[in-house]
Amino acid sequence: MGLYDEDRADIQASLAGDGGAYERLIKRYEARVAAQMWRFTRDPAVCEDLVQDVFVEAYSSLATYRGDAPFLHWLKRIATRVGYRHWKKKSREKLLVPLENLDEAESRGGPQQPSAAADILHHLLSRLRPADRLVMTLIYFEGSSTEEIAARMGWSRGRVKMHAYRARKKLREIAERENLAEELGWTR
Amino acid sequence: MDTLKGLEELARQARMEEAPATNVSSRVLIRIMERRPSPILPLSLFAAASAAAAALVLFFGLSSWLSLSDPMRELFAPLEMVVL
Repeated sequence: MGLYDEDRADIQASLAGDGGAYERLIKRYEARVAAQMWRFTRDPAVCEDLVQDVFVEAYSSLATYRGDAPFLHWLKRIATRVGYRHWKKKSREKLLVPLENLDEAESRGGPQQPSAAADILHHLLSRLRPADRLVMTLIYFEGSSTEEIAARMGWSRGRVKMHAYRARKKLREIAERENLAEELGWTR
Repeated sequence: MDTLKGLEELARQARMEEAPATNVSSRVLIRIMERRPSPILPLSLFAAASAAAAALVLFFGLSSWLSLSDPMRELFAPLEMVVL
């Protein structure tokens, strides 16, 4: 039985009320969803809450999954919306990640280390508006194209390009103001 | 290096980062069970409301029925003899 068939069988069983089948689906995709939610927060506890939210929301909409795309793609779409909603809520609370954390990130091995590079990038992107930040997060962390982002969010491609353009402009301004090129050794 | 190229290089490094491990399955199932509405409760509420409404209608209907007089009686009333 292939993964697609396994997913279909577990989805049907979950819809019939089989908790064990949904648990299998969670275990199958939890790590992939967690990797995506880790792009939306650097706090492991918040990340875990977001992963939970994704699977709870997925269960509520499970009957609407038509099976014309892999289950993981469908889950990732939900995960993106959950993460975006989290940022919008955070931005209403005016919670910004201070850029001073750069020093801490650098002390953990500099931008050559994946986790330090991710920290720096996360802090930089947190300065953007939620929609701009989402587009750049998906481009930078997942290597998504504007077309993929548009499909995932239900936005037009023009809107995604506009957010990407505005975000890059703002990032360049921040980088110049904070003298990042020198701090991160881009001038070498 | 151009700022945007620098950021892309940073992103390339960042993509290699591993996310922390999570274990959410049991908590997700608990949350789903909590959210799932009990199918019995709304039906029971509906049945109780229907029974109460039916009892009220029966009560008023019965008392009205008992107080009803013969509808033909009014026709013959003027013909009643008045004994002086």
